[in-house]
Amino acid sequence: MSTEEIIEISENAPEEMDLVELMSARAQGYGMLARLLRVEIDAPTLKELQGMRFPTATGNAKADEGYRQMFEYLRRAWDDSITELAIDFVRTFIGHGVNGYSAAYPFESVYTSERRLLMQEARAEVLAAFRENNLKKDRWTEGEDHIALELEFMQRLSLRTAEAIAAENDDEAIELVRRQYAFLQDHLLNWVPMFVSDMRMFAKTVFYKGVAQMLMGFLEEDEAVLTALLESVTEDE
Amino acid sequence: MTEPNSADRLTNQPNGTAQAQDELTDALELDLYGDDDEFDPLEIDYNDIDQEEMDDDNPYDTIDYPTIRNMPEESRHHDPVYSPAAQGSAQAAVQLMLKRNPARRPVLLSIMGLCEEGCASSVVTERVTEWQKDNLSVYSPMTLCRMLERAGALELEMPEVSEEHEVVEDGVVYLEITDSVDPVWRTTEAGREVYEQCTQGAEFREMVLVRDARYLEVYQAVMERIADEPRTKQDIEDFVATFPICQKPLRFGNHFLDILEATDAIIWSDHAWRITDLGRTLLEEVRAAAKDAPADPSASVPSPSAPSPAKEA
Repeated sequence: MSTEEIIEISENAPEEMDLVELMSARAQGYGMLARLLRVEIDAPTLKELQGMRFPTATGNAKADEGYRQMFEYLRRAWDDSITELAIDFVRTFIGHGVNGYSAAYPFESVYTSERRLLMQEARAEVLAAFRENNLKKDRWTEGEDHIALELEFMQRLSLRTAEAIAAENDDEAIELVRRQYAFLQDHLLNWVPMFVSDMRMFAKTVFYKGVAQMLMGFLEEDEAVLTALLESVTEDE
Repeated sequence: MTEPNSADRLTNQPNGTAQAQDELTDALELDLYGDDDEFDPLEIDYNDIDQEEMDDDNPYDTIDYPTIRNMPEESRHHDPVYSPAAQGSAQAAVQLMLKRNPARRPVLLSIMGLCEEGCASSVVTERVTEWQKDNLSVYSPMTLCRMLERAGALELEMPEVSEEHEVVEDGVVYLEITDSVDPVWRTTEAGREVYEQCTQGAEFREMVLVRDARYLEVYQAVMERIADEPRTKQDIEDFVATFPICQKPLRFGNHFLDILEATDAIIWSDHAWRITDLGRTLLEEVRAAAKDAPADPSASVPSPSAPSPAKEA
C-alpha cells in the first residue's frame, strides 16, 4: 500500500475497512514523514519520491496543498536538486544564530520550554514513553524528542497494532491505539503546529513547505482516525 | 519509502530495567530553571533590548550574536566570488577560478570542453565522476557546473516540463511524474575562449618558457622522465635534487610538478604523475627552447652529492 493512501483510507474508517491495512498504511505514512524530516534527501530517496503518486483531493486541504507543492517541486527536480534540498534542509532545521529563533528546530523541547532549550521536560517525557513501550534508541545521538523519532514512535506502535489485530488480540490492539492517541495529543499535536509554521517561514523550496503542510494534514487526519476508532470501541463496550 | 519499517532509531528492548527507571526519575526531577515561572518568550522585543543592561551571562542577550532576524538585509546575500561582475569579465572570472582551484583545474576545463556542443547533466555527472576517481572532491559534479555557471563559463538550458499526468484509481485522482528532467549545460562564448586559451598551452609557455626559463633543462628532464613512464612524487623529488641549479636557491621537485600540473602538462592518475597529450606536444617546444637558451652560470656549479643528469645520460 502506498503511503499516501492513509488520507483516502481515513474517510472510510473505521467500520468498513481492513484495520490491518489501515494500521500498515499509517505506519508507512509516519515512516515516510520521519525519513523526510530526519536527514537530507539523497539520490535514491529523490528517485523514490518521484515515483510516488500524489492524490489531488484527500479531503484535507493542508494535505492537498502539501502533496501539490511536493509534486510541483519533484516534477522539475534533477541532479542539482539534491544539493538544493540539502541547503534548504540546513537552512530550515539548523539555521545559524544562537537565539533559538533562527530555524524551525525539530525538537519538542524547543517549542515547549520557556527558553527554547534542548533536552527539557518534553524530552524526559518522550524518553519515558519509549521506555514504557520497551523501545530504546539505537544509532540516534540527539534528543529523543526530535520530530523524526516521535514520528517513528507512532510508526512502531502502528505496526504493533497491525500485528495485534492480525493475531486477533483485540485488547492489546485497543490499548495500543489508546497509547498512540495519547502520544499524538500530548506530544505531536502539542508542538507540531508551531513547528510547521516555522518550517514554512524558513524553507525556501516548495518541497519543504509542502512537507510541512503534509505533516500537519497527516496528523490532523490521523487524529480523526484514532478518535473514530476509540469512539467505536467505547460504543461497543 | 526507503525505510518503510525501519524505525532504526528506536529498537525494542526487554522489559525496563531498574537502572533505566532510576535514570528516568532523575531526569524528571531535574528543575534547573524553576525560578522563571513568569517568563513569556512572546514578550521579548528584539528592537528594544538595552545592551548596557546586559550581563555577560544573560541568556536573553542576543545582540552580540549574528542572527537571521537582526541581520541587515544586505548582509544576507553574498555575491559569487568568481563572477563577471566581481572580476570585470567572464573570461577574467573563469581564469581566476582556475588559478585559485588548481586541483579542480583539469576537471573544470574538461567540463567546459565537454559542454561545447551542449551536454545533458546526467552525462556530465557520469563523466565528471569518472574523471575525479583519482582526485576526489567534496564538490559534486553539479556544484562544479554551478561554479562555472556563476563565473560565466556555462549556461543551463532547462527543458520544458511535460504536462501534468493524472491517473484515476478506485475513484481517487492521483498526479504522477512521468518524465525525468535532464537539463543541458552549454559552454558560453567566454568559456570557449578560456578553454581554447588554456588547452593550447599559452599558460605553459608563459610560465615555463618565459617566467621560469632559467630552469628549462630541469623542466625538460622532468617532462621526459614522466613521458617515459608514470612517476611518483618522490621519484621526481629525488631526480630534481640531482640538478645543481636546484641547489641554490633550493628548488624542490614539487615546484616543477605544481607548475606542470597547473599548466595541464601532467596529470595525477592511478597513483602516479603522467604526461598529457598537451604535455607531449609542449615537450618538443621545451627541447627547442632549451637548445637555444644560454647556459646558466649556476648550472655549472658541480653538485657535491649527485652526478648531473647530463652525465647520467
